[in-house]
Amino acid sequence: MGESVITLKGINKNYGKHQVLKGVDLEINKGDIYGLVGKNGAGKTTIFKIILGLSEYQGGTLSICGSEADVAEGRKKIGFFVGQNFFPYLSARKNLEYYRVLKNIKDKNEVDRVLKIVELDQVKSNFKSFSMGMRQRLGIANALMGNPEILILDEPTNGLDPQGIADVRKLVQKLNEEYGMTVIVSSHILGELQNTAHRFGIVNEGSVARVITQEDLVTEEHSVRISISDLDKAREVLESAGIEILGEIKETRTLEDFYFNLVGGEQND
Amino acid sequence: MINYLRADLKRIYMRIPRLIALLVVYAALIAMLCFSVDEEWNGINFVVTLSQFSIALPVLLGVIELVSVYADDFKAKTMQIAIGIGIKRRRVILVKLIEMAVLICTDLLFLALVALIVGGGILHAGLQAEQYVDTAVLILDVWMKIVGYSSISMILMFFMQSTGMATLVYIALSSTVVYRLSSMLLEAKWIAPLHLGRYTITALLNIFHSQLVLGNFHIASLIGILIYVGLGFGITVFLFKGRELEF
Repeated sequence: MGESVITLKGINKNYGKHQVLKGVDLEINKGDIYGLVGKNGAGKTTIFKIILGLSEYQGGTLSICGSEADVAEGRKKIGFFVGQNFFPYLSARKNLEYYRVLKNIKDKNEVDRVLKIVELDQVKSNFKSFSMGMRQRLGIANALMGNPEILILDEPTNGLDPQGIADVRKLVQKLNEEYGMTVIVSSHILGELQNTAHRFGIVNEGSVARVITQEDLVTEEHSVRISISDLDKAREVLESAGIEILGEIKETRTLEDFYFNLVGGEQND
Repeated sequence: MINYLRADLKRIYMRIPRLIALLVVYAALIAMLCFSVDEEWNGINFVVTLSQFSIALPVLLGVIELVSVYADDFKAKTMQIAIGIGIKRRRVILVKLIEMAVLICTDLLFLALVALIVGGGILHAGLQAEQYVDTAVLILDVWMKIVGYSSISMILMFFMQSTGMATLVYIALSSTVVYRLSSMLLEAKWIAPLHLGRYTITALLNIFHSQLVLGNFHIASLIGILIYVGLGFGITVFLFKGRELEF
């Protein structure tokens, strides 16, 4: 297991009498692609807000890059995409130029570099005329400025078409493999996240109900699908124990299986 | 913190609607100076005209710059990005306070330049050293008013994370509506002997202005104004400290 870069221990969060986080324990290791999944209102966004200092918490400890005392310093190593934080009347380049100055990045080529990564370097129009996919990509480009060690992506595939979703997946994998970034990503699209992340935290009713790994998905045998010659005769055959098995497909458990077992709800076929 | 200030100022200075609004204000000033010219036009008339025009400046310039500093920021939620990358909340507030002060300062310096070129140069008001001093005093007075009032309306700005209500409060303060209402209340029999009216921010600003004009400046009025600015900042820090910020 790698060195821990973000650790939440027993974090509680209340809105008045309503407790939204109940002792959240979360550990993100260096080099992880960590998928945070959970239904709306489960507490994923609140966890991100607490990590980024946008929400206070009651009880528990937060540590970023090993420092519990000065998390503000640790936040300087985080790039994040939490929405479309851009000025509609400025172009992609000018918007990023604003953030380059804000983030105190001296290299003036940084804007071009990140625009190339998200393939928006040729776009001249203002942000207000961007498609949803372009807006999401620009948000990710902003998060990438300054080569952060940790990347937080809150629902980066929201509103994207299948191609856009696949592009984000490739980008996340590329950033992790080529740039060594630790990525924490939340998504509702479990199938997509299953193909991207190394570990998954299932957030349910204000706590991380279970952490599972890619290994868990592959090794835990869930069911066996069999093909039979005649469905009508199946019961008879089963009774007499003389079943003719024509084929056997072993199925491993999916992220959705884990998720719906814990959280409940209906699973799509 | 300085980077946030730099990035924001650069963005605001290039903002087209703001530039258009300022141009309208400058055009109104030029028109007023031109309409004031008659056979007796001189340096004193120039200062009188500028003084009349300056009555509207706290509302006009204040609203233009409040909207420029806060509205786009709230819409784009850049404040969240600033806090997320490790800028402390009290510094974010300080940045906005400084931004207002810097923007108003440049607006007023440019306005004074326009007034002096048009009134003194083109319209030949025959300005003496005294009128240059009067112009400087007027500019300083307007600057103090806008900074003072905006630091109070900043409390609502940060707490509510929207410009609407805070701008209304700013207008009520800078148009002296609040001052008149508070004066009426403070003249009630039971409270009148305390003479609290003189400690309202508008009263202190008026005293500061009078002292500057008469040349008997006393530091107490300035300290009083600075206490209001400090209170505005302090209350904002206190209320904003635990404020939940949305993505």
